[in-house]
Amino acid sequence: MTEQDFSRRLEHEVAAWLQESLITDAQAKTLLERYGGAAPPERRTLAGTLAFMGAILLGIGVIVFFASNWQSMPSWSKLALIFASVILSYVAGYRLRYGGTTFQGTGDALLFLGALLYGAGLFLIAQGYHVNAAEPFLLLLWIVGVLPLAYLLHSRAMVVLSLLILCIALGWETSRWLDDFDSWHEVPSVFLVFGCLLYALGNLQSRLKATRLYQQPFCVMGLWILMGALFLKTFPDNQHLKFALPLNVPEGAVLRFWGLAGLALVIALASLSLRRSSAQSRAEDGSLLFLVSLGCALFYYQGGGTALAIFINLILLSVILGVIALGGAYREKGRVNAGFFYFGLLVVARYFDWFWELLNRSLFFMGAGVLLIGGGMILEKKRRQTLNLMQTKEEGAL
Amino acid sequence: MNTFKGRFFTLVCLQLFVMASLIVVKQITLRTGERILLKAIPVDPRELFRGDYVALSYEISHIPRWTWGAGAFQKGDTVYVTLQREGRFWVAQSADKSPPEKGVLFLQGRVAQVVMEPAPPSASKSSDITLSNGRANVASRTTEKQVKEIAVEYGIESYFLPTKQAEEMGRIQRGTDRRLIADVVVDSGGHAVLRGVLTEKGKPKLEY
Repeated sequence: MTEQDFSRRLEHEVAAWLQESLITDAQAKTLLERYGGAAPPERRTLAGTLAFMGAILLGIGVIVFFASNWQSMPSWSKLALIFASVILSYVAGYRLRYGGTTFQGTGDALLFLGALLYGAGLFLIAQGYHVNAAEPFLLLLWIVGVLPLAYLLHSRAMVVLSLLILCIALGWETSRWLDDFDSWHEVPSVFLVFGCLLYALGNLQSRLKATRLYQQPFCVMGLWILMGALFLKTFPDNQHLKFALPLNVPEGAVLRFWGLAGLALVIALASLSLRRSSAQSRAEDGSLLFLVSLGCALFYYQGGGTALAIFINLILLSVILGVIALGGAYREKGRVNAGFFYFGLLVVARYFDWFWELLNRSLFFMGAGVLLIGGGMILEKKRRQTLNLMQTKEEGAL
Repeated sequence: MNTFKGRFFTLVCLQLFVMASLIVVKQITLRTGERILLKAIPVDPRELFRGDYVALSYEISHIPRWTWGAGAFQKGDTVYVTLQREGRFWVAQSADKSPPEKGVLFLQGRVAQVVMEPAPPSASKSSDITLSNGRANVASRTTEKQVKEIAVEYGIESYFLPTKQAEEMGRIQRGTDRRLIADVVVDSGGHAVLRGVLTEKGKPKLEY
């Protein structure tokens, strides 16, 4: 077992011990500090979970209230309300979380609410000045404000929020550049490379003690995005264009794509160079570099008909199997769930592709029903078996 | 400042600073810029995140090819559109990749689309028409395209307003003889802020 594997295992165990109340927060921290593990994940109690849900609902409520009453409120009161709500949320959250009270979960929720209100405030100010809708710049300002705070507070929720905002920003930016019908064939390539970038960032952070906590959100979100992008490329209809350079894609979009791909490659290589050598990690890093290269190739060379579709299907299948295997090895449920989800999606999509023309409609729908019910049960059983196997291995190792 | 508390409140202040900056930048344009009227057309209402809004297009959103000299615009390019007053309204006089000299009113925009059209017949390439088995075959006919105009966005294409007013604007769009007029402020750097939208006979509906 390498040192990194040990740290990862220890973090997992410490989280489980905390959950079972075998050790206290302070003991968990001491243990992890002694062996170089990342800070323990926050224990989410029922009260904390409810407080988080409350924060999200409150945030949505405030956004809707401001949005629907914006014109009937005087300018100064709008601005005062926005600023006051952000400040109040952060100050109250900080006091509850770090003030030695027993409402740490509520404090976390209020800090998260502050991040939501900050974003809402940006959009409401922009609304007051009629800044264009779907403006990615506003989302970037949101991330610039929230991400440093997420790292300071060790808040996975804020990191996930920032990554979601980044995804939306990339979607808006991409739709501005690639809004012609022909250009839409390039969109999955952009998101494939973006998913690889997030995954590589997650891997890179796992190498550093201070940032190891954020590996999982980056990697799992990266996996969902890159597998989704590959899935969109698995349809034969998408491959009808001839091999050609993307003439319909504006120069600015091509430059930006290369910037994104270059960044993904650099981060993946940096992660590779910092990694301790093991067959598993080499396979993981090698696959990542291959997928970035595949994204670049697909951006330039569209088409190849059925042959390319079959090739992409095989690639996605390999990625899915690799993700499930890695999820088992790392004992991460997020990866296992993502792998099983895309496996089911792939099977259903291919069924619709291949049998729509071959079978008569009644047989087709009956088959689809059987596939969804039976296949769903089998997949769920396999997923649970994998998760149980992970748990048994952990207990056996103890 | 080096304490955890200090770093936390510094980052909170950074967020407040970002929000305040957004206000200050727009206020500077509003206070130092020149007010102009532009002919506007509502395009597509509603945005879920920010309540109701009307997507606006302007006469100056479509810049015909003759307004710029040599060189080609591409999607995403920054474009500087010099404005000229015609009666109450301002129209596009010329477009360029660099800002005009001082003292000239202009808008800074971004090329959203390059609109093409078939070139005149003289510029088209046609293959020979051949006779085969008594039938005329046109083997291939390649028509070259040329730039017709560029569609430009100035950052003033969304107008947020209450639902009822949005519906009213929708009615205007659907065929009454009332036109929409945009009340816009433009600063010396070509940045624009939409102050309000009024109908031909009305007053500005909204001011910030």
